[in-house]
Amino acid sequence: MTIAKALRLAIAEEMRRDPTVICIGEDIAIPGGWGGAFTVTWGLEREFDSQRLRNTPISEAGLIGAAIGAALTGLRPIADFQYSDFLFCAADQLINQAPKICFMSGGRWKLPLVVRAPVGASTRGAQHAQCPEAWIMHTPGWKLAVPSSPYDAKGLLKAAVRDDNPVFIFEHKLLYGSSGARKEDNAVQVDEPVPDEDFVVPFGVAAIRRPGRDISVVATHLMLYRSLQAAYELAKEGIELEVIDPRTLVPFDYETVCESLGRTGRLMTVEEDSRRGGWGAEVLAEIAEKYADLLKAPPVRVATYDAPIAASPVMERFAVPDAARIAQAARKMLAT
Amino acid sequence: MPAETIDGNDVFAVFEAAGRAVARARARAREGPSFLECLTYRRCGHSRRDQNKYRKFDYQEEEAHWLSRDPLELARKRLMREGLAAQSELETIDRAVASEVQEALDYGEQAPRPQGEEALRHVFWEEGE
Repeated sequence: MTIAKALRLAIAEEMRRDPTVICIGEDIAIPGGWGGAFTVTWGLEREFDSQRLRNTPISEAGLIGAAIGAALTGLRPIADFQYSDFLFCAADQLINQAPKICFMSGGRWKLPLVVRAPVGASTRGAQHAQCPEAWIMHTPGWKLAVPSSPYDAKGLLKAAVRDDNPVFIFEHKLLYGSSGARKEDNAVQVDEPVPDEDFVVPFGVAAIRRPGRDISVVATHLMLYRSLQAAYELAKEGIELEVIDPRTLVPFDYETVCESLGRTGRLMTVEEDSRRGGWGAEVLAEIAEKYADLLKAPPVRVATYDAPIAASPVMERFAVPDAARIAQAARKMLAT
Repeated sequence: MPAETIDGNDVFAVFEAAGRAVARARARAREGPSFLECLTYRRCGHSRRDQNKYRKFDYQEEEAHWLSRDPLELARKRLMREGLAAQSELETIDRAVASEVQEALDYGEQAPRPQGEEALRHVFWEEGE
């Protein structure tokens, strides 16, 4: 099962289970359409009517404002952004309103809201390529999930829907497994069996995707797969990376990372966001402040260079980390 | 608020209706804003992979109708009919535009392939560029 299908199943199951769960977004339920920009809600309009599956005009501020209002009045909306770059069209709703409502009401109002948004560079240019996880991670009041596998996508989305707080789910364009007219060049196929039964993946629990003794590599989304590729190459040289998928950035599972550092003593983060102020900076700072004694070498960030993403595929490939850059950083870390 | 529905593919109709709206906005009596609904049609998909499959099933007739009403063609016919421009003048404009497009195309195709390192340029203003 692909990530797009796993997300679709999670949405359908939650909507069947709880009549207050609704979806709202641009072009999410157009017969003959794509099901959002990346096929996640494809075909759901055959089962759910427009009261449950709301198409909106092209206004991110409008759709997220409506979702916040719906959440305040008893529904559990899942809001769909076509590209995470468009979050900034709704910045007031997403930064000043949603994550502060519980706090500003003195804990009297809850906001069971889920926002889904695709991230990542996919040869669409600077305004359809960003990874804004750090913007949301920085804002108190949001929980934040970054699923990289179909199993996690289904389980984390279901957990998010059942959470009484605003939750962001960032999904990666090249990991969806979208097909047909929405097939992506350079996509990574991450099909895996996903159980039919009801399950959730708890927030704040990282997964070790590959054990290794030399460096603890924390990576998300596409960078997780490129780190695994680098680990495969480095194993031939006798270098063993331990690759950790945090699965959620808020809350963040420092316990698993520290356990891993107890074995390796070396920390590397790999992210697709630009380097300055990305989530990797936060992880390194936290480890350096609280757990410096676990480190036997300075920690390292591998990230996209601090520039917008170019439309040119050549320039995009240069800017975004690949397995070779990750492997080189690992060799350098072990050489010192 | 004054409102008009007009043929958005007729540049003359758009010009005249917009002119009326601007005149109202500028009038001493402060008539304020106007609303113009300009009926038009998207001639192709939104993006590189948009095959327009979400359109109604009998769209062919609708599409043919609108494709036959290219705003430039409509404007050209009216200019000639009313003697505002000679055919030779319009053909000169056509050739100039075609040549400008061709030059841009040639420039793009003949330019060297970008280098990866160029991805880091122009984040900030570069003096003397």
